[in-house]
Amino acid sequence: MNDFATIEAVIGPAVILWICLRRRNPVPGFAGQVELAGISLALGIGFTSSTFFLWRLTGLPLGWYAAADLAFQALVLALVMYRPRRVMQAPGADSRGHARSTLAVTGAITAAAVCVGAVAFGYFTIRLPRGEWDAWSIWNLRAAFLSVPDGHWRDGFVSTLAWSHPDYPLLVPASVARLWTFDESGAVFGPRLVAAAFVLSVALVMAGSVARRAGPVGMSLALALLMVPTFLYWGASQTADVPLGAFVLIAIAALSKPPGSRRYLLAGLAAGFAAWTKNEGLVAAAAIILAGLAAARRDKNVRPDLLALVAGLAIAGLPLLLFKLTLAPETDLVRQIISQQPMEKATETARHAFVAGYLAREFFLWGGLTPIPASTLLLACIALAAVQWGGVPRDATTATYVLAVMLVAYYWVYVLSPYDLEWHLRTSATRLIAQVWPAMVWTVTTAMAGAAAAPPPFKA
Amino acid sequence: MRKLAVTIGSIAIAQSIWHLVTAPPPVADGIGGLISAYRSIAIFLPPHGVVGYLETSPDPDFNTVNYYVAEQALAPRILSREATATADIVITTTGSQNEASSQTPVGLTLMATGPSNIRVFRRQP
Repeated sequence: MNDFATIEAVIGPAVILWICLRRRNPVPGFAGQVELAGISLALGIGFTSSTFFLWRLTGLPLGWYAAADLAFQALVLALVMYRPRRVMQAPGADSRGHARSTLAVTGAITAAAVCVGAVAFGYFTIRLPRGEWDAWSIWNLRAAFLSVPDGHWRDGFVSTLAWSHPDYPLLVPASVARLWTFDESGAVFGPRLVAAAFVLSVALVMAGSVARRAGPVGMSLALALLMVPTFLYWGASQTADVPLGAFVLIAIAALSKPPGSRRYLLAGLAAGFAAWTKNEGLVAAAAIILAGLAAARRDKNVRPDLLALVAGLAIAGLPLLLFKLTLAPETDLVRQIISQQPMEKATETARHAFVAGYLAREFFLWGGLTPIPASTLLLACIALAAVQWGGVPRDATTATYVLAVMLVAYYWVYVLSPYDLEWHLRTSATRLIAQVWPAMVWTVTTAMAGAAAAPPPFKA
Repeated sequence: MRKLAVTIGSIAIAQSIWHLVTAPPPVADGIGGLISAYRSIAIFLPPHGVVGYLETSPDPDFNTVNYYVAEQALAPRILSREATATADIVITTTGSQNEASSQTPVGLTLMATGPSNIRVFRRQP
């Protein structure tokens, strides 16, 4: 019974958001609805983590939370259902007259990718019932404090626990702690469900968004490249890296929707929730805002679009602002970087060579595929797109901006790292690639679709 | 282009399936057992505040894992490795009975022994 309540606590807000988004966004066929379902799932977790954290900040009794949450869901659902509007329907983009044989093959690849995703996620969940090291030493530890019924939940942010990074944002811990209010505190089902929801969200957004642009072939390729073992390992790890990757993907998918201020609102919300997920999310949020600015200038509708972007960012970023102002200690990484001769490190050639070499090697081998690494398959897609390129697709350009800003920032953090550099890279580089992997796959498959759609020098 | 995309997708999926087929049977990590062990001694501890944490294993990595897991299991108590000389209550790493470090530290009295030989000490008045 508790598991049902826990599942409802994730699915309920997602369904309400999905209904809202369907009514306010043009829905280009089945693919668009799948994409909206993925967006709703992740944003639902983002919104409810924020409400749970605000509830804790106000000091209201934790025992009332589950009932209040359900009542709030019912109220919002009633408001959404009141005077239903006609669903806006955009011209379908996912029926492109593919040959029956192509559809059969892509259907088989898609089905295989979904099965591989489900089985691998289950396998890694059994291997890591309490998640990876960071899950039980950071994220679920913070969730344990957030679910303490009395005022001592704030003890989780004291300096004695500096080793557990009490400055880290709380989207994942607050989501887990919220689910524990519907179940037993510390139950393994809640964190597993949050992990599964984010992997599902990434898969749905990827499938729907790429299918809208590239049809079923592009979708099957995107899912096949997304569902590599290492990505699913980090998806099941109960850490915050795949959730961050989900919000980055949602932002770039939103920015590639047809022009209109609503896509900027969605991108702003995703940027805010990315920042509420991890400190790296602040970099992602800055990258998304820059990409949004560029897209708004192209749309020649700068003021309303920027207002929507900033409104989304402000709504989703509010809990982070409150957290940083009231509870979070200073970010230890930034403080240590500043105190350890950053200028000397920035000009050390050997340091640059070591970081670049390590990251290149890590990226090359990332994914768990042998004998042909996932990175090689990704590069093959880029090469194919380049061969047939009739101009850089706009969507891929926007996503490339976001990825470039994030990767350059990560590179510099490593160069300036206050820790033992080899240790820092060994313990975090693989997770950082998991954060950008969905966006990379999306960018490459979208670029291929753009290349195929352009007037080809060779017949596609 | 479509044929090449299908080929790349098929290669990726085939390799992912191969990875899963050749993966060893999943063996759960021991974290759940450790959390249960530390939760079972909560009845001997104050509901909140600082509790000393004495690292008794010769293996520093084992000590660290135990300490992190114990903190999650016993939240909102704050386990402190620095407060073993001052805290009223001190707990230890899991470990075997016959380790040399299983002797009672000076100034403390053994209150209870939990699963996996987690010991709970009280400071002598």
